[in-house]
Amino acid sequence: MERYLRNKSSINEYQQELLSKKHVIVLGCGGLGGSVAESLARIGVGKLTLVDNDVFVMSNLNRQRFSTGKTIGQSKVEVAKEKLFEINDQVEVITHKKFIDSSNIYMLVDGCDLVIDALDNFETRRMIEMADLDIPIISAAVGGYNGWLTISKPGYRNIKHLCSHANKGVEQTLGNLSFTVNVLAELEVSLAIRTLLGEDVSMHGFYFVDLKTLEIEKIDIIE
Amino acid sequence: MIEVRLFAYFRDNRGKIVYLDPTLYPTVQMILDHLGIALSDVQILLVNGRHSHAEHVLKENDIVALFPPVAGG
Repeated sequence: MERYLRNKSSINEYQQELLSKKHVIVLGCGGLGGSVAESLARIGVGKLTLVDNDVFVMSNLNRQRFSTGKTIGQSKVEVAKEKLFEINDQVEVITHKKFIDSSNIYMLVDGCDLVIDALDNFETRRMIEMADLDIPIISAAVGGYNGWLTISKPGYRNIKHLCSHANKGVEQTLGNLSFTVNVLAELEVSLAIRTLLGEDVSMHGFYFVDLKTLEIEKIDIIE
Repeated sequence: MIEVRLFAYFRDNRGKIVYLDPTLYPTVQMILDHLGIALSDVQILLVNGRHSHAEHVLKENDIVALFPPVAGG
């Protein structure tokens, strides 16, 4: 298909077909989640579920992919669904305008192959890891010029290392910069595609990204 | 020497890596005090790749890594 011509040969025809049968759930559809959803749709993942209870506000405009002056006040997931259809009408997009909690996480991920954690708080991130899902969770977070990235799956709980008892981090004072958000979002997509194609990207620890020094460092944690 | 690896804004005005003498700074808390970093601002504190704490007694060639909390999306 011409649409995916420039995915070749990094993604071959068999793998492209495989991606078209995959279902990814994106938890949070703000800075990280909007960019992740767009890239997954462009690359050809067949089915996306987007979950976010928020509407776009003015302070989202500096970084969130689907926010524009016209979409202020509109549901993030509904705007994303509309834009994703314009980008790739071959992708099925399911939306849930709701908060994610321990009462609905199992219903939300049912039938999915992979979770993208694009959330903005430690409490929900910790909850999804503690839910013991039987599919991988790829997580990232940003604050200022920095971010982290990790993957958790049964036997590899990594999010717990990164979550403090406070619900927020340095982003409260250092903000969320567009380039940091987008770099971390695309790193999530990179790990997601490799995982969906069957590559083992398990780790004990996380990657730390510094966009002042342009470095990605792998941090191993011994338990 | 102890190698102290700093991450995120902890690097501001301190650099990425600081080397300190364990006889002068024998605990993680003394290193934090020397660097002017509050323990409450540290989310991840690793000594040689393992989670540790401020009272950890350090020895020659130990590697300390300090990260602040980052949660934004």
